[in-house]
Amino acid sequence: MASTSSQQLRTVRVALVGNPNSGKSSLFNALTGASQKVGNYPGVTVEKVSGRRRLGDAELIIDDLPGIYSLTPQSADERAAVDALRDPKSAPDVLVYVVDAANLERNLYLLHQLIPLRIPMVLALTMTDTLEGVDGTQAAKRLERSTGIPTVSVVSHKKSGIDDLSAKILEVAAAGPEAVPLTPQQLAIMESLTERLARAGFEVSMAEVRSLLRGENELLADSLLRTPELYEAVANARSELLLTESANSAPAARYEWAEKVAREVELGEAATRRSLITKRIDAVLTHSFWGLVIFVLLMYGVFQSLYTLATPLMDLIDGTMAWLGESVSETFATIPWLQSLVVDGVIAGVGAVLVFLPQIIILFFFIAILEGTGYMARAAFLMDRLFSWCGLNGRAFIPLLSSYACAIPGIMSARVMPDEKSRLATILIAPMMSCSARLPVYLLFIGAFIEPLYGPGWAGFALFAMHFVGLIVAIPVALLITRRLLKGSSPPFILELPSYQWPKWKEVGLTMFFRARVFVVSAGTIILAMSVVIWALLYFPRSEAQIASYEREFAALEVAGEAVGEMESFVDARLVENSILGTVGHTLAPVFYPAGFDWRLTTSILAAFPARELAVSSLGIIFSLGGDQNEESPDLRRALKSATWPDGSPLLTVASATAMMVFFALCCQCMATLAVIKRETNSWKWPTFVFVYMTVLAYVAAVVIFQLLRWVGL
Amino acid sequence: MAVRFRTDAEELLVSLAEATLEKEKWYRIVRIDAVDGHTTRLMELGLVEGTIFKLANIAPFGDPIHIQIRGSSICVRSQEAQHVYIEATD
Repeated sequence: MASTSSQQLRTVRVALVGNPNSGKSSLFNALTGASQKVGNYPGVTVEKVSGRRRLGDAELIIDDLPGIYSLTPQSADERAAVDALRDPKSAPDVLVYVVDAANLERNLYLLHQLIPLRIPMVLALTMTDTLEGVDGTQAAKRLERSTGIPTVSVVSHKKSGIDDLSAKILEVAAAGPEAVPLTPQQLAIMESLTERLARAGFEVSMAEVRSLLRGENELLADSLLRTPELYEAVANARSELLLTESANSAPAARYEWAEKVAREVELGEAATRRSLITKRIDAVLTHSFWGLVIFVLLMYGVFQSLYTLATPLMDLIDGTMAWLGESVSETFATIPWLQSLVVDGVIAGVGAVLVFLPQIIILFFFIAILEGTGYMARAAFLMDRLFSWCGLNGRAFIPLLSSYACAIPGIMSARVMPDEKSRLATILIAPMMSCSARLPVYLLFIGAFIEPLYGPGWAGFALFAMHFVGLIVAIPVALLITRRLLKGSSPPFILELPSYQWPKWKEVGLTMFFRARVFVVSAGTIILAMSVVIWALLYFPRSEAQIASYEREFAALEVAGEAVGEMESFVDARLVENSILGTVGHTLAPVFYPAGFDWRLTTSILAAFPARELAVSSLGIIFSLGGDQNEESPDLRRALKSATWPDGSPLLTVASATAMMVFFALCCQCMATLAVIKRETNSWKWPTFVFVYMTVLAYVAAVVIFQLLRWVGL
Repeated sequence: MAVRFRTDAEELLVSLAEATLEKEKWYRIVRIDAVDGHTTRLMELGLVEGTIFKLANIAPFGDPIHIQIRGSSICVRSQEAQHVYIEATD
């Protein structure tokens, strides 16, 4: 409850409630600006967004509840919103209900359900600026008269009405129980009693009548005692009020009331005219043929520009971090382990976080525009059939397609899916999409083993097939997750297609900023910590004596004429081989024999677990060529082709090279992905699940492919 | 669950899933069965008895459909549409 104290700020807890697409989030942004905090509702992956607003000696603490259509929740998000209102412990001091003027009847439906919650309420009438010829302030007055609830007209992106709304919130908070809205029936009973009293010469306000009916207005009650029929009218009204507790709550009855209020608000033809423009656009954009054509072109444009814009920025970040590493490396030259920790652990780790930012920011720029204009819902409508049969819905399209570039922004973009279950399923299969970091591995092995033998045609096909392996395997996984693993029936996919609007650039900017911040703060710290751990696993144990003995070993080989390459590369390879990770690689190697991998391939797989971007360079280190090898390096290709098992048979054949690629295609070798899944699902359970299921799948698939191809003689 | 036989009158009802709708024509909802959360949600979105609506578009692959009702655009999967019975308006 609101509390006053001379030193302390008076705090008022406000819940922002509204239909999805009602302009609720824009209003929230206008009210709170950049003071937003993102958390989670307890026990669910639903994001809780709250913010603050100072008003003199008072502070509004505003929760932006997930959008709801009714108080009958069908998904975890809706349940979080409904619980926040129904639970007396979390119930707000003031409920601000956002009413979208362009969808008045449907918004009034929920209002009809909210009134009996007995929470002091203010209505914020939005979208009147999109209705031609409608005066928002006048419409708000009519809505206030019709519902008996204080109403303010707001145009969030112009900041108009925001101060009025804040003042009204304080007013209603101060009034407390007096500001609890009346149900339509209660309102009618009180109105008729007020009229009845007025006819008898008692000019009293509705508020006075209200306190009279509650038995709190003794002054008025005493003066009425002299007129028995008036006293009887009051008693009748009281008993009528009791009867309204069991009011009809069927949807049809609620809509009857909604229709009546909408008529009284008299927006006339404006809403129809506005939806006419949307209808004209939709005639093309949701058309079964042209809609699809435009969709494909649009998505091509989005992802093409994502790629072209992000690549130079990512290269810049990589370059900067490398330069930074080199510049500070001198400072620590006297203490090799500290030098390596700072350069290869910390700086590389920070780089591993920052490198994702361009893609995240650019993808959320496009998503904010697609959402803000209303196109996202159309895209989901067009794509729904493709996803519904495996338990997902059309909204999974953007996250899964983004994951082809990188699973990090892809998983983060799963928030375009309002329902928790499909969002979780989408997040869990997103890392299966073949991200761009897998490409170098494909190019290396295809270039070394497929192209020379079968020509560019088959090489192209192999590259294409590798990009589909993950998608094809993801389908049964999605089915299993949605049908078996996640309990409860899936929430209805009944999608509202909001009216088209111009994007609000400020909101686009805020979306990009908050997403980037959330990633750096919550996922970034995990990624950084993991990269230091992985660094240690690759670095230790290490001693001067060890290095000296490897150098002697190299010298001996040189004498025998068997030395290959540089001494430094040889020493590095031996150090990795004997590091903690290398030892694990040796130990685990027998497990990977059925897939055709020896300890070297196994160690390179292990070294690529933090980030598969490391796969090619760690192969370079392990094959004594140094860490600066890339997928096109002829030395590395030659080394891979000439590598043999101890018995002299070639290590890598078409079979084992394909098994290697399939392993990389399916395995979750990306700690950033796991960190982001932890952040988005608010639990370590799901990243662990993804890590285990993908690693097991990758292993099984690699073994099956290797055995199959060897059996057919490749 | 109680077995319920359809009466003759109900046999004549056409569901939204099986009807062939024409664009630019108005239809009326004559009945909607709240069989589960999905159909309840449809009612909450305004698909109640007596409400009129228009077909806007059908998605590629034939499902879902996009209808206009009470000034909003809503898309309905056929799985839910089979519980919405409709008639053409004159």
